[in-house]
Amino acid sequence: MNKSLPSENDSNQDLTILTITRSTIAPKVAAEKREHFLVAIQGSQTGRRLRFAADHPITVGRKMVCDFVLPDAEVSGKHCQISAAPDEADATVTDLQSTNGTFVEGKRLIGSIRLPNGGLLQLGGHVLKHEYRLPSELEQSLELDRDLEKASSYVKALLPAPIREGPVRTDWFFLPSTTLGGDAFGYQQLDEDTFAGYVVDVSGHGAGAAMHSVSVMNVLRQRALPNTDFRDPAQVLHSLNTTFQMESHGGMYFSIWYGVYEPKTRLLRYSSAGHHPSYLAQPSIQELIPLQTRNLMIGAMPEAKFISSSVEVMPGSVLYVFSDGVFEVVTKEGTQWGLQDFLPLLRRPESAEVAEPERLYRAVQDVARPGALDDDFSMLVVTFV
Amino acid sequence: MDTGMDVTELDGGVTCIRLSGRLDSPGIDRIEVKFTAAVVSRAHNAVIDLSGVDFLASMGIRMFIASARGLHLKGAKMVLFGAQPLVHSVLEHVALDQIIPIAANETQALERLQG
Repeated sequence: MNKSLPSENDSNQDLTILTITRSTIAPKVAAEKREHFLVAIQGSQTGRRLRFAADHPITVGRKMVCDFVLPDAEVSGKHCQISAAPDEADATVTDLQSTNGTFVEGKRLIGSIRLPNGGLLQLGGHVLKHEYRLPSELEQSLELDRDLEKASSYVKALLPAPIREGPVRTDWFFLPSTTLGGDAFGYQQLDEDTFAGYVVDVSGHGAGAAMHSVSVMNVLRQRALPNTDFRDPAQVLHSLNTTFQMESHGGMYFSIWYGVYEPKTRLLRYSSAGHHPSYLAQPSIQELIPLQTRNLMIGAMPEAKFISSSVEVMPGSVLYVFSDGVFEVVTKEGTQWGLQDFLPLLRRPESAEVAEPERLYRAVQDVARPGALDDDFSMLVVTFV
Repeated sequence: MDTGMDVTELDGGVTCIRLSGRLDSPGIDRIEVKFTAAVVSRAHNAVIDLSGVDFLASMGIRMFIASARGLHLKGAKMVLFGAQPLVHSVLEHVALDQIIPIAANETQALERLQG
């Protein structure tokens, strides 16, 4: 607030003298202490968090008398106990002679074992994580989680509904990672004769990567690229590369697979940039057809050139377009999976219980180490009738 | 395996950086500043040994592109070499060789610097 200074002639000067002194006895502020938490990261209780301490151990089990109740048929009434020693970062897990066992980092526990900060505990279909952190740090982290949740909801809101009728049918499964991996996908009828679909994967994680993927998705949804024929995949990639150079977008680049299908000619034209192949499964042919063109990722170099290719699609063929989060997983045994490890799953029979994209998600989850996947899982399945 | 980085200087003032472990987001967070300082700030030709790297994610690729571009502006060059099959397939999928030369081994990488 601005105030005019009193003039020397002002007879009614109202002077206020402010004296600042410093106390030699600073008020005592108790040092913040780290606390132990058990948080559910997989299963029906995901997100639930419970504090425990040296003087307050907790029990985990199916019965209501437990502190952390898990409604899971594979979990015993009183399954295990978690405790902590004063001022120690590790917790201690004790199996209470459970029927199906308590697993720490994938190994069945006999008796008790120490559980470090970040250590994972598996009981039936639930995975719990031990955290030893400052309450203020936890609050910041929860705030960030809420922001990421909002960004994740926004991405989900833009995804198109599955198509169940007509010559081109679609279904998908999308599960963002806890840190948001920057995936996006979509499809639309360009005109009466042409259908287009794509998957985008922005480098990096977090709200920034997610917002960048949303920008790209919006440009494609609204066909907002200047002088671009959206029926020409190479031209679309070229225009995206001109629009989204990494210098002007926070150093982020993205990979993309973009395809255009004409039911009348049964021709699928496609172009990929910095992206692994999509795969076409033809009926009664065991071998999958990889669909990829060797183009640099979008945004890495202004003068990059883009090529496209095409394939004729037999009736009943199924196209799998996905992000690398689908196959870049660490297995229960601790080994790194790659694309070649994942491909046999595409050729397994479809499930009568769940849709094809979800079948694939469950199959990947079965081999992955416990807990949420490290990256977004985006699987788009297109069936050509 | 933790992400590791070892910097040496080869004959002719070439910077050699040997990376190891996982080049994913947490790994890149640990080494990116040191890597950029060692490669771009020196402004010498550089060869990057990937033989000890068992996983390469998009953040790792972004670090290579940014450093290669930084070096290019200073008139120097960067070559990657020695990638294991899993890492090599990632480099192939993103067609990174269109902006950064990729060699099978150190000898070939040094030859590519002359090309």
